[in-house]
Amino acid sequence: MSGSVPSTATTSTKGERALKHAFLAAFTVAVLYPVAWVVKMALSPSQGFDASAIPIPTNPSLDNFRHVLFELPFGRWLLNSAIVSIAATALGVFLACTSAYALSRFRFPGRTAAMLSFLVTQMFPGVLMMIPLYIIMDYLHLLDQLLGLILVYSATAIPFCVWMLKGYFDTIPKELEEAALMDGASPALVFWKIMLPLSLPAVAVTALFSFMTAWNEYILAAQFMGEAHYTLPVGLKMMVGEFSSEWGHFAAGAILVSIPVVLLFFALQKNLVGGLTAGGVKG
Amino acid sequence: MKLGSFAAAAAVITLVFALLAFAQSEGDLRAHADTSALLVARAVAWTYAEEQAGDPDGRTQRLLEALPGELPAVKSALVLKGNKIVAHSAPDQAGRSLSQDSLSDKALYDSAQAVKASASKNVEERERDPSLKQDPYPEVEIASLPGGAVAASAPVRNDEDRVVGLARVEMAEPLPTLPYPALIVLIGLIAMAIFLFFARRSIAVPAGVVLLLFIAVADVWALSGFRFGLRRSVTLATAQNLGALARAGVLPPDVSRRPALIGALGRDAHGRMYPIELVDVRPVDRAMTRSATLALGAIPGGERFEAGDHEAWFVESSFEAAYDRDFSDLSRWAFLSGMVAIGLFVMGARGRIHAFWSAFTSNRTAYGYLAPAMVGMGILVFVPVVFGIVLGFTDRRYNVFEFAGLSNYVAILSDFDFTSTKNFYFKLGVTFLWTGANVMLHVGIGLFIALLLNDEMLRAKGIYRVLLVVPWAIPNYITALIWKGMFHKQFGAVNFFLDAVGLEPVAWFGSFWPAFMTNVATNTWLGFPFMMVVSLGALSSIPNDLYEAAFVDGASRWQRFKDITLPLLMPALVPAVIMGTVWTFNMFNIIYLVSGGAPDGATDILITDAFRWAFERDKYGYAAAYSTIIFLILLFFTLLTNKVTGATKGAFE
Repeated sequence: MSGSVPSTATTSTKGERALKHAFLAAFTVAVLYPVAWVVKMALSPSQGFDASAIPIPTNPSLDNFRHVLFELPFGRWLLNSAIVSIAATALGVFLACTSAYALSRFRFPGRTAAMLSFLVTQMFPGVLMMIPLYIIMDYLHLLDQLLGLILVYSATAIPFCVWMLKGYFDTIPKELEEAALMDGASPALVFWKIMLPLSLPAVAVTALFSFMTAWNEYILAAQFMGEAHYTLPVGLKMMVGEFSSEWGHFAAGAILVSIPVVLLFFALQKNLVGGLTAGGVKG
Repeated sequence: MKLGSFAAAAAVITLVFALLAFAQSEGDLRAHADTSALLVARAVAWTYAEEQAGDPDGRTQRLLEALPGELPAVKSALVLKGNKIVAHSAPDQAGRSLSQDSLSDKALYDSAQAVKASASKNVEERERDPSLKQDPYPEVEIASLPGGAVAASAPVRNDEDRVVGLARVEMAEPLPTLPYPALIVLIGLIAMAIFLFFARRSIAVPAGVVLLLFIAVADVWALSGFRFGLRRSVTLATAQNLGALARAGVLPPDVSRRPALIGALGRDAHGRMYPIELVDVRPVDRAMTRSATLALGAIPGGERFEAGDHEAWFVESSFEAAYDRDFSDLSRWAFLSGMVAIGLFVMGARGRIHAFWSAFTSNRTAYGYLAPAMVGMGILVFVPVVFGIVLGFTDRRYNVFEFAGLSNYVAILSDFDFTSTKNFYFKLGVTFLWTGANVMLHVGIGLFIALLLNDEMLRAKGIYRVLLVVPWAIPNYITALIWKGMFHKQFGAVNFFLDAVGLEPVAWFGSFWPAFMTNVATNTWLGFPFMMVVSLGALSSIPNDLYEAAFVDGASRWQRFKDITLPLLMPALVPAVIMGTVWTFNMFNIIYLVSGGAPDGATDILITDAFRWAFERDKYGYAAAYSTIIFLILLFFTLLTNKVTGATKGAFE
C-alpha cells in the first residue's frame, strides 16, 4: 500500500485532507447552487422570480409539476424525445462502430481522407447548415416526421463517435482478432464477438453523448417539427416566450427533462473516465 | 494523375449548381406562399379596420367564412382584438377568448404582442423621420409552419394609426406540378458512379463520353424546364388567389408601393388603375413593362376578375421576360462545369478507372463497413456543408439566389470600421477573448479539482466527483436560461449576494464587460467538468512508482508536478483542449440565450452574428460566407495545433 510512503502525489497527510475537504465542499455547494435555485423555483407556486437568494422555497407545493405533467402535452413531448433520442443513438452509434472498426483495423485507399472528413465536419458552424438541411429534408418528405430528426441527429453525431471509438479500438490488442481469424472466423464475427464486447465502456460513453445531443437539441427540432411532433426542448422553450414567461412551470419541466440524463451520467460514471481518455492517451 | 479528382470536383460543382437552382425555385415557391398569405392577411386586417370605422355589420366574419371556400389554400384565418377572437374562419371559434392553458393560444398571443410592439416602434420612427413613409406597413410578420404552410400576421389599425388588433392567416403552400431536376441530376451522377466502378479500360472512353454528355444535357434541360414550369404555375396560382379575394369581396387598395413590381393591374370603380403585388419579381426590364402595357388591352394568357365595382387583370406573360434572366444565370454555370467534367474525364478516365476498380475489389470489407455511415453523412452533413459554402458566393434578393462572386467576402473582410459592433474584426476579437477565457478557466479549474481528487486517502471523493459532473449533464439551453435568470438585475440571485455583502447591484447586461462575464461564468460552469473528467482519467493512468521514485530522490511537490504529472497529462489533455477550443469557438446556445448579444450585439461572437445575418437580417449569402470564414479559421487552428503538438498523429497510423 502506497500509504507507507507519505506525501506522494496520490496520498496526503490528515491536515491536507481536511483542507481539501473544506475546499471541495465549499466548491461543490457553489457549483450546485444554481441547481438548488431551480428546484426552489419549481416548488414555488408563483411564476416569477422570488426576491430572495436563499434557495429554499417559502411555501413549497407541487403545483408546477402537476401543471406540467397533466395540463400540458408533456407526455407526448417526452415520448417524441425518447423515440428520437433512442433511435438516433442506436443508429448513430452502430454506424460509428462499424466505421471506426474499418478505420482502426483496415488500411485502404481513402482512409486518411475519410478520417479527415469526419474531423473537418466538426468545425463547420452547425446553425448555417439549417437552410440546406431544411431544403433536403423537405425534398425527401421528411419534414415534420420523427424519422427526419432521427436521421439528422444520428448523421451529425457520427463524426465525434467515430473518432472516440476509433481511438478506443486502437488500444485493443490485435492478437485476439488475429487468433480468431486464424481459426476461420469472419470479420463480421470478430467485430460482433470480440471488438464490441471489449469496447463496451467506450461504446457506452459515445452512446451517452449521442443521446445527450439528441435529447437537448432545440434549433433543428423547432424548425422541422409541427406541434404534434414537438420534442421536450421545444415544448419547454415555449414556456418562457418573449412576452409571457412561466418560470415556475419552466423550472419544473427543466428538472423533469434533466433527470434522465443526470441518472445516465451517474450510471456511466465509471466508464466516463476510461472511455473518454483511452483513445486520447494513446493518440 | 490528379485529373480524376478534378473531374470529380467538377461533377460535384455541377451537382451543387443543380441543388442551388433547386433551392432558388424553393425560394420562389416560398416567396410566393409568403406573399399570398401576406396579401390575404392585409386584406383581412383592412376589412376589419373598415368595419370598425363604419357600422359593425359583421362583414369581416362573412369574409373569413367565405375565404376557405374561395381559396382552398387558406387553412384558417382570424382577427384577434385584445385576447378575444372577434372573427374566425371557423364560425364556432369566433367570439371566444384566448385560453391561458392552450399552447397555440399562447403562441398566438405572443405573436400579436410582437407585431403590436414592432408596429408602435415603426409609428414612432415615422413620426420622427417622415421620409420613412415609403412603406407604411412593414411590420407584417411571416412565419413558416411545418409541412410547408405559412402563417402571416398583419396589424389592424384605427384612424389614428394605432394598432387595435391582429389579422392572422394560415395558408398551405401551393404545390404546382413540377419536373424534378435534382432527381434527374442525381440519376446522372449515379450513372457516373456506376460507370466509374464497372467500366473497364476497353469501353471507358466512348461510354464515358456518352454518359457525361447525358449529364450535361440533363442538367441544362432540367434547370431550364424546371424554372419555366415553376414560373408559370406560380403565376397562375397567384392569379387564382387574387381572383378568389376579389370574388370574396376584397381587393386591398394599397398593397404595392413598388412601381417596378407589376404583377397584375386592378381598376377601381372610377376607372383608375392600380398595381397589385403578386410575386416578388426582380426590378423589371423594358420588355416586361411593354408586355404589361399590352396586357391592358387584350390580356393574352391572363385572367380577368370582377367583384362589385372592382375589376382586376392578371398578366401571365409578364413573367416570361423575367424568366429569361433567371435561366441564364445558373444554367450557364452548370453547363460550364458539366463541360469541364467531360473534358477532364475523357483525359483522366483511362488509367484511373482501373486503379479505382482494383482498390475497390481488394478492400471490399473495409469499404462495406464504412459505407453506411458515409452515405448518411454524405446526404445529411457533407451536402449541406458544400451547399452552405456555395451559398456564400450568392446573394439572395427577393428570395432568389443570384451568383455574386466574391462580393460577400470582400464586404466582410474590407470593412475596417472597428467601432461598429457589427464589424467582423471586432467580432473576431470578442470571439478570441471568449474562447481564450473559457478554455483557460475550463482547464485550470478542471485540472485543479482533478488534482485535489486524485488522492487515494481522500474519503468521499466519489461523491464529489458525481456531484461536480451535474453541470455537464444538465441540457445547456436550460443552463443558459437559468443563468440568465440568476443575472437578472432585480430578481437575480447574483445581485442579492452583492446586496448582502453591501455592494451595489449591477445591471449585468447593460455594458460590455459585465455581459461578457455572465457568458463566461455560465460557460465555465458547464464546461469545467469535462476537463475534470479527462484530467482524472489521465491522472489515474500515471503509475505511482514514478512519484515514489521521485520522492526518494528528494524532488519537491512542484518538481514532481512539473516533471511527472504535467508531461504525462499532455497526451490526453491536448486533444481535449483542441476539441474544447473548437466547441467553445462555435458555442451558440450560451451567447444567444444568456446575454443575447447585449448590449447592442457587442457580446455576440462570430457564430451568433452569422446566425443573426442569416435569420434576423435576412442576408443569407453574407451569413454563409461568414460561416465559411469561421470554418477556415478553425481549420487553420486545428491544422496548426496538430502540427505543433502532434495531437492526432497516432490516429492516422
